Amino acid sequence: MRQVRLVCIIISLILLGTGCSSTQHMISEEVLSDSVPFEEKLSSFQIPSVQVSYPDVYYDGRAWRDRLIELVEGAEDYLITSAFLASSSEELEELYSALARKAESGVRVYFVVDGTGPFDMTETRFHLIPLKFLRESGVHLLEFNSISGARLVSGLNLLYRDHRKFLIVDGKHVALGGMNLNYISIGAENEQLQRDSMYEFISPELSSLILDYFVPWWNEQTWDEIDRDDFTVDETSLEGKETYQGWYVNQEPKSAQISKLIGSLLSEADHSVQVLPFLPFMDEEMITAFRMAQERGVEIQMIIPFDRRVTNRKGIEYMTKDLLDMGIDLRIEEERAETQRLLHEKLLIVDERYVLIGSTNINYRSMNLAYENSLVIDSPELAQQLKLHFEELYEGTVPITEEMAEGWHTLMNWPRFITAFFGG
Amino acid sequence: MKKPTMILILLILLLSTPVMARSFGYGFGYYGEEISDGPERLSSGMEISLAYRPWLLEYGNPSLVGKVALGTDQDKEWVIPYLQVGLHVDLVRTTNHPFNFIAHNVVAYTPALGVFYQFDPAREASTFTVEASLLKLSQKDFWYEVLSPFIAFNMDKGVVDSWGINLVRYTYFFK
Repeated sequence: MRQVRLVCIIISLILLGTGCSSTQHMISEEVLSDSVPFEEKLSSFQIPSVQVSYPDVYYDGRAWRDRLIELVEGAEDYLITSAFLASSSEELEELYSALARKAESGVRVYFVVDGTGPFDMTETRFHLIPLKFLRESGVHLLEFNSISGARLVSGLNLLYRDHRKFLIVDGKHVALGGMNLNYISIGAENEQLQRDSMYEFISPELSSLILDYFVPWWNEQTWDEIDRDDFTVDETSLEGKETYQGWYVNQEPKSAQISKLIGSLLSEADHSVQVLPFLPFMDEEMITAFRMAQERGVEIQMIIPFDRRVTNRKGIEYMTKDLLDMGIDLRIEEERAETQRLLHEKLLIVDERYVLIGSTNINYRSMNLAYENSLVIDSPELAQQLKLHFEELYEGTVPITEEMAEGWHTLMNWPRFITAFFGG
Repeated sequence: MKKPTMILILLILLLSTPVMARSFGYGFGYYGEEISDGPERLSSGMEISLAYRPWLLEYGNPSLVGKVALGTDQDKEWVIPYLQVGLHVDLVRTTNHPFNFIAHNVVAYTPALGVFYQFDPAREASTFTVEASLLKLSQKDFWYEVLSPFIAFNMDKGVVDSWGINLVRYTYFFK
């Protein structure tokens, strides 16, 4: 009985802690204000603006892997990459060999992988080769917030994860998106390959910004310290190219910047929003933010992926009853051959003008408990391209009805929901 | 100290960590101690510590450390054998050592010495304690200490009051 009481106290304290969620900023007065222009809002939230080129968009993980190999082979000075889950496999041997060769040739390679990597429970686990071997070639490999028995002492800090995905090569090429660097993201040949997206830009400003965040963060983690001045950026790389205004967020847990960014985007929406949230485990504030936009007359379409992993799927299904409170066009992918490949993509399109891309899932965990990076781009051309992509996905979905949501909202699914809410 | 109070302190420590600064840390260890001055008493149990580490110097890096031990003696009675406050100094920091294979990331070897004012509340005895953490590894957010012996001197009598060993101690510095 005492143990039960203790567990109850712990759960209560966790729930109490989540009461301080950063998502309250999604519906704060400053975010919802009509009198402050969008650009000024972001500026007041310390969200810097950048100029970026029109991106090359990769929807196929193996195509991105091949491009990555090209970029690695072309690196001359340094390469920095971060991925939530990263591991080698037979299919990724060429990529990781290229990285190792580059490091051996004197190119500085900095590689961040989250500490949950060894616990990758996806199909990757049957193919996983840990990346420690890269150190032998001189790759500076950092495992963020490793999980081990001793580190249990750090308590709830173990919940904090580095979910960012980015790549910088020589301060010239920069890429962001949702793809990890593991088997199911960029290696698998069959239905195990996830559907996702990566965006490659030319942008000295974005490269500089990422470096400004990355170097002090890296130095906080490791004795293997680096100096920002040692990472130059090619300021001329964007010359002669058409540029687009963007805003970049490098979020630390609880910093609320992503919440403010997404809240501002929803507040800015005039007539349409398309959303790919990936794991849509939202709290009340997030749901309210979407509902408020819908009530203003904005047509919001959201696609929830079909997740063949039963535990995740049941957790998501449990959540849908609350998601219906948004009053939006909430859809779920049908189970068919194509959707066996998990839709891991994260995307938000506003008024066929602004697009939000990056690592951030539209959920509680990404807003509160993770390092994330996201970029908003003001580009009707890109928005149109991505909307067509969204519409293709929309074709294979069905609306979620009250009856479906009610049927999924069972006590048996609650543990799956609560696990995924904090850990998904 | 009663068990529920201890659990509450631990919970508060764990739950408060995300909002604290990196210079502050807390640790958990397992100690064994023998009191040799007077009737022999043995005890072992948990040690909880707090640390303040203002710098990351390569040589002679000091930290302020406070510890409290809570264990059971040879009669299975709960005891608080010592409270300690003092200075813990990393003598040197080097990443060039043979133990890197045991950690996920680069770990530094940082042998340390500590000097503490120690108080035994049961005997109301004050002593001067020296601890050697010769098997100490450090990351920026963690200390891992193994087999750290300590010895307490009664300065008035000029004799060894007690001695013991910390089998293991993990200290986490908040982010």
